[in-house]
Amino acid sequence: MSLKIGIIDLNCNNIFSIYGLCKNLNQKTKVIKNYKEFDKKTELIILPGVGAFSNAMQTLRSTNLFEEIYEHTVIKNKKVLGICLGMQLLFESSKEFSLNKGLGFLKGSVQSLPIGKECFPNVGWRKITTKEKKLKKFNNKSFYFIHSYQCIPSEYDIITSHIQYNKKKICSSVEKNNIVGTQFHPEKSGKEGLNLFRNLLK
Amino acid sequence: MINKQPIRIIPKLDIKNGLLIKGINLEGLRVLGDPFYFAREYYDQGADEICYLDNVATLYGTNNLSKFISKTAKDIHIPVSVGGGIRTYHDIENALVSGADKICLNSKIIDNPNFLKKSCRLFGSSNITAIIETTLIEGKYFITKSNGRDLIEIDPVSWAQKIEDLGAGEIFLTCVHKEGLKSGFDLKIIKKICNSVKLPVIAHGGAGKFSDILAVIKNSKVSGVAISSLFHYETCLSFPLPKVFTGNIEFLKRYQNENKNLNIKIIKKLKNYLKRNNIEIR
Repeated sequence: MSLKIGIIDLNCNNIFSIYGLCKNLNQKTKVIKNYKEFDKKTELIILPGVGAFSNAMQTLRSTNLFEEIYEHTVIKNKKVLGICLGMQLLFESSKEFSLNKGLGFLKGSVQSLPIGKECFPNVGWRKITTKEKKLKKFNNKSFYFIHSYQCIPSEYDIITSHIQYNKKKICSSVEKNNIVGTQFHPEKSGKEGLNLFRNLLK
Repeated sequence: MINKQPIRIIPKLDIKNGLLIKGINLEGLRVLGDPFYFAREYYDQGADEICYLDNVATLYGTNNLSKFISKTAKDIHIPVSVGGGIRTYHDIENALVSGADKICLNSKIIDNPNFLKKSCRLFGSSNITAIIETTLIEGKYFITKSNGRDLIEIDPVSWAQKIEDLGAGEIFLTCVHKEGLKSGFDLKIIKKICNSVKLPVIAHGGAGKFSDILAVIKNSKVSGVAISSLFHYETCLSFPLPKVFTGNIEFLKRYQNENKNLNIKIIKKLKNYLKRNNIEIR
């Protein structure tokens, strides 16, 4: 099944990996840098994630992509996938550096990871725990994480998987209707990541 | 049950003129082949990340890894770190846009620590790795720039702490005095650095036997181990000689001739060895 995919380029990302992945999976993929490049027939928007929250939001506004993404997601109820920073942007706010407003599609906030004995930031592979039917075959499989912040959804039932970090449960993926987010990078998580990504496209 | 984070096994590839090279103490370069073949092979065997360093970028004022980064990012689905001669915000942006996940900085941030601070603000802490090249001279540890070429009279432990304050997401620690010798890691300095910061530390320089790698994992809080010689010398036997090259290919010709036993899946072997020794490995 081929989807029309639009990958949002926030100008400091590695969108290359996600783009390559979509192409390898035979999807009609376009990279979008501003509102002029946005095709209203797009079926899935991917918000990839590398970088700072405030810079990303600033770019979304200055390129007028904020409005396009809002219309696509909230008005037309079409699919959006946020990865890492992209997942964090889906929420209402983030405390990175100072208080920043996010896209607000999901209720909750973004805060620093808890401090403890483990290294900070969280960099490397971790096993996810999931009870979701859709993600059953990925339970206890390793995915790649690289982040200093975590998403804290206000609605717990949108959390679809978590990891352990400093003995606390950290949200590693969410799903609410047409909105999906992964804190980990499926495009960087080897063969399991590819499989999960394929799964998310369905 | 506490979810213990697996140790990352990271092949490190030094690149010069588009070819994989290997030296000793970061010098005396031998050509080993097309880096993409190696990267692809390592990925297939289960490497957790790949690290590319452009070996002479600081010296000549160049920075042209984009080709490799893009090719790697397209087909190899694990994180790619890139370094060597990254000097401007534009360089960082270019590397990220080409497909790099983490950018490694060394020489530039020694000259201008504020560059590190600003880069982390612009691009995000998690994506900036600081390389610390440390060397041991007459019982004292120093740091170096330009891939081991310039000695700087700064203590690596205080430099590591400064790097953490400035916002870097990770430290890649290369022991220049052990690099390429395959005689084991310098556990003393690796332990000291790991204990001085909260940042994840990757140790590099010295892996000769599997037991060396086990020793550094068991005796320090390293988050990952980066390996060059041990992987490349075993793996270079599997590939044909590069057709177009500049540099010293004599070693490779002779080495391939003397070692007809091909296809040792070195990363797979290492990971199995570590698992048997109760190390958490992906």
